[in-house]
Amino acid sequence: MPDLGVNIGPLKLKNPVLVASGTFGYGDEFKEIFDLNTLGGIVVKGISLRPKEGNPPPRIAETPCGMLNSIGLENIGVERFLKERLPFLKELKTEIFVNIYGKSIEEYAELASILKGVEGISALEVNISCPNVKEGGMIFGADPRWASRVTEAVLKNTDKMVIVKLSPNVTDIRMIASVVEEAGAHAISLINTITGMKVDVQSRRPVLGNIVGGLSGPAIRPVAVYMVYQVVKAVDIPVIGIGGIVSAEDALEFLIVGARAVQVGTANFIHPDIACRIIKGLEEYLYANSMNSINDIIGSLKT
Amino acid sequence: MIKDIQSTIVKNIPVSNDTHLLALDCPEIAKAATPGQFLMIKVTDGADPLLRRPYSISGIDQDGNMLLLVRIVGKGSRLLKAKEKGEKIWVLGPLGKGFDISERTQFHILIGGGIGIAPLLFLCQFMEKRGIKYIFIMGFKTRDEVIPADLWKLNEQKILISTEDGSIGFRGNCLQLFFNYLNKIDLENSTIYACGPPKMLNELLIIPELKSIPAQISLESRMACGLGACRGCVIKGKEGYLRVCKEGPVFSSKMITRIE
Repeated sequence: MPDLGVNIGPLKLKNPVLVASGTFGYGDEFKEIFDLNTLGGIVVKGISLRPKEGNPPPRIAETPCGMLNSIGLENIGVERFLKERLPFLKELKTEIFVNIYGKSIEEYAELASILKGVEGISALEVNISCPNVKEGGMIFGADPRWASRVTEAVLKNTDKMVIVKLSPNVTDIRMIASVVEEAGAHAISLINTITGMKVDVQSRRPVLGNIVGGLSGPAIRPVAVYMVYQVVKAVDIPVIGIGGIVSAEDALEFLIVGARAVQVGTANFIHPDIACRIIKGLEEYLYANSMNSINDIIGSLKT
Repeated sequence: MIKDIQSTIVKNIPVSNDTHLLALDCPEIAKAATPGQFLMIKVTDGADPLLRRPYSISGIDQDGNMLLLVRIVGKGSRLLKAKEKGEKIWVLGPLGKGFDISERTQFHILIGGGIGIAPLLFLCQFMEKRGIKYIFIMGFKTRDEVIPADLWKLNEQKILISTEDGSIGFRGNCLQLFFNYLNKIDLENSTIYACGPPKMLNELLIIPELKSIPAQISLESRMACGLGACRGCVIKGKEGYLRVCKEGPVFSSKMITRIE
């Protein structure tokens, strides 16, 4: 049996396949469909300090080989998350990553300190890149000074591993990655969705209630692979690749350019057990290529 | 138990000018399904179109196949219409909260506008089997749109049809037909189940009788996951956003003021 285990800094994952924030709820929505313990990890839906109602509908639109969403980080808030959702997640034999989102540096810091010492959380994924919220959100991800300050504030208030999730909606992603690394982040995940828009030509109105949304799905994969490729070269900390992965082959693209793990997002909507199938596919690939470990693949790009 | 099954199309026939009837062989889902629930269908393999499409369950045939009514409205339904008998498609279900068949009331009134009859046909089939008293009011624009209920082997005496142009049945829409009927029934002892276009449901939502006797209304929305995870399909309820896929697709009229 080939070994799929990977390390993200000090954290050991049984395999490199995680499910991305916002596409897997709080996990229990999928529990009757497949064994969640097969996953490398679960990144839970973004949590804010207080509950958020989210954006007005329509919140989703289909686009060629992709989709736009403008959910707007609707979530139950950190207090209810800890009380109602974490107990279920804690019992799972997979790593739990909590994605956090704040409107200000202070909110990020407060969220981190509330989660400090809480058992059952392997790492924080800091969302500095949501295109769907007016306050903060992408500003933190697009401005290197803010990205750095958010990262420092979270690190100062946590005992957990900190992963910063980057936005692709920037001029040079390497620069943001570098400042986040300098600020002390343990790992980087990318990419979040690409800002986009769709217009109904009959009504001449935007299709989304929020006018703009985030594009995801296979349509964005080449952009994501390229950005991961760039960031891997720019930083020394581990990188987690995200963007349009629907098959083991897609996941391999990210691993080959140097991602130490991947997150499956939109594909969870299409086949709820897709992450499980991707894990099997990776195993088959290693077996077919007579390789013992997934680590032999990571960063093996020939140029 | 929700299943994701590659199911065989055993029938795909036109039943009106713009609607096809599909029968799918997916016994595990059919056995678990209750009226008002829905399926997420992947109309084609591959990434375009990417997302599944939500379809109401329209009943179960005598061989245990799941019945779906597919109105041809866009890319997804056109692809589904073109599928041949024997082809396979991915079916996820059964999903959502269905109708609550109230044991307390003696009489059940089903009101369906256009393709809105789809979930009600399953409900009707269910009631027929259990000898529950009902009437089913169906409204269409014109004769060519009428979906023949004999395919479901329902008691035709309990079915009232309206067409807007009067080409068959009552002339007018299904709500006008219902209002005509209103004085003949003991509404206090009835439950109303409705599905149809937003305009029709909004008209229904404002009738004063619903204040004391809430109706059960089946809604639709664009969806991504169908499982309650993505929060993409929400509608505005009286107390905040409600997920059509999870809190619905069947809602009490008490929960909703207006459908956008």
